[in-house]
Amino acid sequence: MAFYIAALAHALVPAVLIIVLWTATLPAPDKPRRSGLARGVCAGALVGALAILLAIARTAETAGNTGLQVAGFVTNAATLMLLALNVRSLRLVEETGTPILARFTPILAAVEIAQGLFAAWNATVNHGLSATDVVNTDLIVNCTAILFGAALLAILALQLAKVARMAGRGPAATALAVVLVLALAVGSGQTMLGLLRLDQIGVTAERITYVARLSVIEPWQVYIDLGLTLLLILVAFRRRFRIGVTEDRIERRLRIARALTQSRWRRGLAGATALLLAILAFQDLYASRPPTLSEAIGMQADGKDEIRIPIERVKDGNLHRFAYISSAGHRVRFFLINRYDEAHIDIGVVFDACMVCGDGGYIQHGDEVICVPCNVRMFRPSIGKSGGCNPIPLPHTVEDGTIVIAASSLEKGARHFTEVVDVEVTDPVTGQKLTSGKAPFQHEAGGRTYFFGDKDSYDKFRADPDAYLRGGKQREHG
Amino acid sequence: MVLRMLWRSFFEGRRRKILAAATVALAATLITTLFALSVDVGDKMAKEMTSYGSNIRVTPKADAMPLLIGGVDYNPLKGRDYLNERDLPKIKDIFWRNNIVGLVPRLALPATAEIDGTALRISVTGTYFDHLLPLPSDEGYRTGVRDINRFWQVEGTWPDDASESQALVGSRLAARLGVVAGGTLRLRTGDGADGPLRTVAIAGILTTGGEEDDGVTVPLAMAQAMAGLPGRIQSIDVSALTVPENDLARKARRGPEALSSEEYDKWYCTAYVGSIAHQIEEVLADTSARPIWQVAAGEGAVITRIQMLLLVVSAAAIAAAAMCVSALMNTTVLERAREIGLMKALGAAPWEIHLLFVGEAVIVGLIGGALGILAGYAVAQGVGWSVFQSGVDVRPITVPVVLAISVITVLAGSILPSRAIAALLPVEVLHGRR
Repeated sequence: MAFYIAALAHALVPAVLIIVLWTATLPAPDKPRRSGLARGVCAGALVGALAILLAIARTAETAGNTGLQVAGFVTNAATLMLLALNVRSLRLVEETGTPILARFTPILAAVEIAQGLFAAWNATVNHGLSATDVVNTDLIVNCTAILFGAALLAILALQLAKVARMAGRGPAATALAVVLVLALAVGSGQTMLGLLRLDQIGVTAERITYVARLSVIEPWQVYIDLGLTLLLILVAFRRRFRIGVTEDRIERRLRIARALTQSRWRRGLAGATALLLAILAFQDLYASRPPTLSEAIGMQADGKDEIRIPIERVKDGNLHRFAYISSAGHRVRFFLINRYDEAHIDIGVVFDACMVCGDGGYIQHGDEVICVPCNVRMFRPSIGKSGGCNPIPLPHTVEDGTIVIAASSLEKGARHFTEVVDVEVTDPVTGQKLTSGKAPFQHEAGGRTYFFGDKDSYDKFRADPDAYLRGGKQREHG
Repeated sequence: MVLRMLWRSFFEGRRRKILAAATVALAATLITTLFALSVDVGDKMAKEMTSYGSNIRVTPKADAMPLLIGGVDYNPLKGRDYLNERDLPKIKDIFWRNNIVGLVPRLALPATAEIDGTALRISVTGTYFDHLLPLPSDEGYRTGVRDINRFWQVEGTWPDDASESQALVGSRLAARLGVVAGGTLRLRTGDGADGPLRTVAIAGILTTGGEEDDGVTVPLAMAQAMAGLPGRIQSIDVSALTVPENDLARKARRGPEALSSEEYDKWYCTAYVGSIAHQIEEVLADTSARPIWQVAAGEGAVITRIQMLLLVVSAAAIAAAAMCVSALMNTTVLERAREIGLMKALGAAPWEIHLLFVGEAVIVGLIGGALGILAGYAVAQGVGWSVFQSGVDVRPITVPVVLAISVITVLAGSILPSRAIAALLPVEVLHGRR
């Protein structure tokens, strides 16, 4: 339920802020005729709906999104330029007397709304409104949430329009500039990602880095925007209408009424913003968080390069998670679980990763073991067998009540795990001490990764690994 | 001030308001009934679709369409196509093999139970109770109804799967025959008196709440021996751990061909009940594996078909109620024209006068809606019993939705009268020219 409101807010709050603040920064006589703004919003809604229908019909979500992102980016850039012109009070006046700046409002509104609507649809498209076509509680609740979110945004826009005027053109223009710069930054990352996915531009490391860096800001955009709204309320409060002293009673009552109206708008906007922030925070910080894995106990190999875990310790039917740091610094998680009950002890020994879903891990929920990424319930007795979404089996032996896992099997499983920690390693050629994450060269041999301090030792090792590994091998056989 | 005026004016023209509330209540009754039915079934269906366990029934392809009339299967191909018992391990060899919790094969045959000289036609079903089914990956795999149908209750002991002389007698049948656990029963294959006869020990009395209560359930091997069909089975019930259905799963239900290759991969590699059924069909040739959606196939099928009708009927009821309210409100406005004129003359803004009338309308709508919900609750129970033979669980969501619809109905009805308020000129009405 909160998901839909949050998705709407993430997609549409920047659009709402840009449109409203833009109209607030126009000089008072330039105030657009309402029909212009309304027409722009309606046109935007129409274009957005058409784009969604087209995207559904031709399964071209990426193309549609990228197209609108480009349009949004260009419009935002133009808005920023016009804002600069506006601030310098270069009023471009047409012959009829209306400035060109006001003429720009409907275009801006149309593009922003279309892009926001499409983004909102794109974010929710894979999140079914309900599980069946028959009217049910979920369907009604979710539809209500969408209507409520839209109404909340409309109220926010109305109140912000009033409050921004109270705060004055200067603060409104400053806020608009910040919102625009933020939207441009996020938009450029999104546009580039879209173009990359559509093969319109080549894939390079710099471009991927750029997209990745900007995607970090994206979730915070709506919070920054709403924070700016709160700041504007503060400015409006500082510049509030003061009643002052007057002898005239009629004048005094009029002034009280004016101050009261202003304070109602401010409080209303503060309330709407706070409500939206609360819903967003609830969704982002609590409701959408994946379940966290239980703590993994760190394990180290003993002198025989083995890990020994007594069955007594893991037979209680709970999931016992352990972690081992491989020679290359991979944090290899594995877990042990009793497949049956305490009367029939049969321990499954598996990696905490799945061939299909990767290293998202498994959690225990009551009596069930669940794969976190795909939400599949495991059939407990089958844990330890390969196939489907089962955890990858970990080779092991049982020696008088103890599970024995060879460190070499864990080393082999390191490729299933992406979590890397820095470990101290030794260059097998020079004997130099290195940090795994910073070593310039590495090479895999016999299921182990070796690190090298320079190219020279790297090449020497590659030419004849056995010459340098004999020491290690002998120890393994011994 | 507005509240006080509202309170005073609310008791003006009580008869008309009672009439308006009654109109709304009638419409609300109808909507509550239809809505409660629809939402109850919809919620049950949604619950079924979002559960984490499902059953799949595997049958021979030609046997896929049962032709049940009055409990007797009239499908002419019945008894000709069978599945092979030795194919069972193949099901545990599909991609999602580990999600398959259990397999229960079935073979049903008509038989005659003879006790104290009386003969009774019954159905004998062979199945696994707790059968050892060695798999290449697991030599000790055991499966059967004891694991899959945990709600089956046995008074006595479960039969041994290897025996050919132990049986469970359904509780209703046991009552009719007057037998108890520990007794014996003579079963003759077929419905005539010429079939081979065998005497079985009644290991226990079975209660399931289903059709098994009226029959005899025996180990599969015994049923095969009785029917003279060694190694043959009619159907397999597969119990699987699945993930809830979503849009992709629903799209795939129209046939995996409808999916793009990327979607197909995703669907195939997700433990939807549909993809597991598809994989079973892949390994067992000429079979049809269908998820068993109990609600969706029963009540859901009815509601899905008539949902549009429900919507149209509800819309018609709302429109009728709104028109009725509109007429009543119009009279009120004309009757109270002088009062409105006075308010206008005293400087009341049009929206303040509107607020008065709309406020009244909302209260009338709420009262009507509340009465309608109470009446609709009762009607829904009646309809539920007569259509689905079960009461209807009226979901809490019905209350706000029906109240909202009632208020909207009344508001829609007061649009036209409100325009009449705006058109009134204080001078005219106070002079009494209109």
